[in-house]
Amino acid sequence: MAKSSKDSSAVNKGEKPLKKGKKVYRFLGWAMMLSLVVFSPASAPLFMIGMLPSIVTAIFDRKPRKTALQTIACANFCGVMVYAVELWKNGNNTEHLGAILQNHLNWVIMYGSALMGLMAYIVVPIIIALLLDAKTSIESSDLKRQMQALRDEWGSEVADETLEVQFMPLIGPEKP
Amino acid sequence: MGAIMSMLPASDTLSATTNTLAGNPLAGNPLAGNPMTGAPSDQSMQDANAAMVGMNPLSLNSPKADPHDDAWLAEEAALLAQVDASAIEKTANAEEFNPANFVLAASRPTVVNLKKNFRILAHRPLPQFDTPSAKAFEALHVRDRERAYYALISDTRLPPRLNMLFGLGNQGVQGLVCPRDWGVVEWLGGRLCYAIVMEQPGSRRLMRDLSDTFAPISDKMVSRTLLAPAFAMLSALAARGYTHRALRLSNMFLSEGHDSTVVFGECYSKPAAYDQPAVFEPVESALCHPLGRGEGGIGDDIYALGVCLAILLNGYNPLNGLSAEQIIDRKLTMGSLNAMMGNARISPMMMEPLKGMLADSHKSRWSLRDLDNWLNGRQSLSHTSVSRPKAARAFQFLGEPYLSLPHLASALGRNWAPAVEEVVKKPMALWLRRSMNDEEKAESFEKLMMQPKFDDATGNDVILSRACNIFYPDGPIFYKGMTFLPDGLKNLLLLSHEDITITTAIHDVIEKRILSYWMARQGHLPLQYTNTLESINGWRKFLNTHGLGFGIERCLYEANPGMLCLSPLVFRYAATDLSSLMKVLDEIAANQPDLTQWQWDTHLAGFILANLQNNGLGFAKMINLEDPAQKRLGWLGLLALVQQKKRLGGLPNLAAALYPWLAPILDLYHSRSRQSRIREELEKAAKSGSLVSMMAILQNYVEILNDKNGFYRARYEYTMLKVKQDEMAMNNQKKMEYNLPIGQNIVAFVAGATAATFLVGVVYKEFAWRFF
Repeated sequence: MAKSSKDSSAVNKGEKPLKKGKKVYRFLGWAMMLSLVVFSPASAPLFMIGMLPSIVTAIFDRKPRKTALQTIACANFCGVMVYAVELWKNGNNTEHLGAILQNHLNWVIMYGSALMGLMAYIVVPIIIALLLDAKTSIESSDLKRQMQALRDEWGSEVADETLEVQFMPLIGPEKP
Repeated sequence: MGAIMSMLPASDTLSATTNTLAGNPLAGNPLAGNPMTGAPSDQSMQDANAAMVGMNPLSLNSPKADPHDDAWLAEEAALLAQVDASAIEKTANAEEFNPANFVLAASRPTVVNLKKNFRILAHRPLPQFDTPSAKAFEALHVRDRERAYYALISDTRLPPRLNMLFGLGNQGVQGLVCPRDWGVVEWLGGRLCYAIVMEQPGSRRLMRDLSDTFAPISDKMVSRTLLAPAFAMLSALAARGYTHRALRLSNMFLSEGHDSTVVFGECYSKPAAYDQPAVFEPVESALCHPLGRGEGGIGDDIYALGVCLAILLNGYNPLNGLSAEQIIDRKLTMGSLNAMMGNARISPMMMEPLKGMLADSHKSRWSLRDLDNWLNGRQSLSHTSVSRPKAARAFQFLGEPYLSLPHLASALGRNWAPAVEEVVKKPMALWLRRSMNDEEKAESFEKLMMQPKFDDATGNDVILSRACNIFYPDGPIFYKGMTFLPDGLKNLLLLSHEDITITTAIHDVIEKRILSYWMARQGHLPLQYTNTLESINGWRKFLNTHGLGFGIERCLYEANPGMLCLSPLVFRYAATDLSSLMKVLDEIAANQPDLTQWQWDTHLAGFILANLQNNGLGFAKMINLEDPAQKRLGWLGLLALVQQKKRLGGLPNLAAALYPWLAPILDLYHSRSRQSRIREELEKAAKSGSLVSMMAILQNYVEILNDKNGFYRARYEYTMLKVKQDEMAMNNQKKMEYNLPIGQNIVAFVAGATAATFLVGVVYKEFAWRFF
């Protein structure tokens, strides 16, 4: 069976394709959401509205590992969770949900956390890539230094595998 | 003996006494036959002397001084005192080298030192002791002034009979001029010469010239004064395994005193029989090139003695005025006895010794025992005299008729090119069968013609050589105009480095088994040839190996122990053995330390390898490699082996010169740190002058193995590093592509962990208190 285009593009760019086991988590996620709707009617709208950035990210994130979704959703979740807890503490009813939703600051916090997640997703990999690059440069210099040391000790012929070299011959039993 | 002295012509001390060769025998075509001519007259010899010494009356006319003369002794002492004992004085204007007079006399007092004990007076020639290829000069012992000495000076291209010089030493043989010392000296004009010092034998020769005539000597006189001393001398030599091979009347002297006896002249200065005129040699030897006669046997000396006897009994030389070829032809047609005695009346007393000593066949010739029996009045052993059969009808060759096979063989040998056509094309087997009535030879000849011919141009030459052997089994070997006996081949090698035709001919003789064929047809092989075939088989191996240290040059040194090294690098220093060679090389290195300018040639290599006697074969292979570094290592190995085998001391100049020359060898070590360490050790060893140590440093097994293994290991490491570097470079091109996903994964993980931690914390804080 041919690999999907998603998988092949991921392989080309160095990412591993999504394993089939991950679909289980997706199913569990949907199951949790459904449970929330059933058993906590006020929390579900809060999560659905508060995690709207995550839902949008889920639609647009085509990467197999969904790292953008993971990052933004986790940050978004943290922001929404603050108000979910408050909702659960205060009766878990729709009136309190309305009060939460009417406060603009709460929107800022919920969506701001998603934004933080997004910023982290954009900036941190760049920083990490730069650090990795610096590490590679150091390793490369070290390699060059070792190779130069070998050339200094054994001559340039050590660098050419195809070159036939002569060694000091050991003359047979006639040596003095 | 006084009667003999009165009958013999008076000798002028400065007159010519020898059969002088017409020119330097080494010049011209050595394959052209024996360059023997008659001797020059006294006047021409004086003229030659005058030309040599520039009209100095001292050199020409000074009478032989009485060694007991006090004035003379004082003069000589004063002369010696002027000359530094270690210095060799050269003339201000070195005389131009003239091949005819290659050993010149000095025009002013000049002394040449021979080792520690002898001083040779180069301004005092003694022509009465000259030989055809050596000049005699007066010599003084530094301490012994009682005896009179003389030195024979000769060219170094032909070595003396070193085996006799070493073997006889100072012991001497009664009745024979014996050597007291010898060596190589630098003569006038810087020319190297062999010098052999001997005690002066007597005042006059028995015969100055082969053309001299005198009253015939009586039988009794000749047997007492010639044959008896000759027997004693030859017996003493034979007991030590030597032959004289220079017995001729002009090489015999009358000792001084009332009861003077014959003293036999020297036989060491040149190869055996080299100076012998054809008349004194048996036919098979006379046919040979002077260098091709070999050591010979006692039968050859007996023959020469027989000729001396015949001349003394006749009072003249019956073959005087004839060329060597004519002498040989006469002996072949008439037999030696008839040729020497002709129609002269032979007394019954002398008939037996003359017949026995002049027998043409060596099988029927007298031995020493026969001579002894005759001298003591006993019956000699009877030898069946073999007369050569004659053909019923002559064989015509080049317009000449030939009735006997040996005569025909000698003619074929002398006229090689037409002979090849004759033998191949004419029905000789028929003539052998019908005219010679010799079925055995006819069959052998037919078998020879039926053998498969060699594919190359030498095929017919080989057939002709073998045909000559069939016709003349007792005779020498004929090949392409070169005539020789088996033990003379080694002397012919001396000419090989000057004449490529000789080299080619010798190569053919060995390769085409011409010698083996000759020996196989001998039946009973004479004693002197038994070792020859074995030696020559060894030469074949050298001839078939190309490269430095092999070839004809190697054969030359193997066959002639004591031969000086002919390499242009060392020739003028006259190295005759390995110890002297190394000292010479050390001396040369002091003045010429740049070894890249030295000629490392095949003579040098051949000389060393021949004298090392089958040692140094590994080094011999190395000096023939293309790689200059390994070649130099091979040379160092050879020189170090010589230093070790001969237990020589330090050679500081040579070692110091070798050190920079060996620099390319150090490049064979790949590790730079090892190179510099070995370089330091090598320099230290070079300062000590030990080539053995230098070689041991370069041939350290552990170092060599470690270097090789280390290099391969380093190469592997380098390859691995290169692969890693390439990978890194490839990754570097797409670094953002690889690193960004890594960062994103990290961020996602951290976000997830943070979210999970937050969730747990929140849940715990808000709701856990209800349960705890």
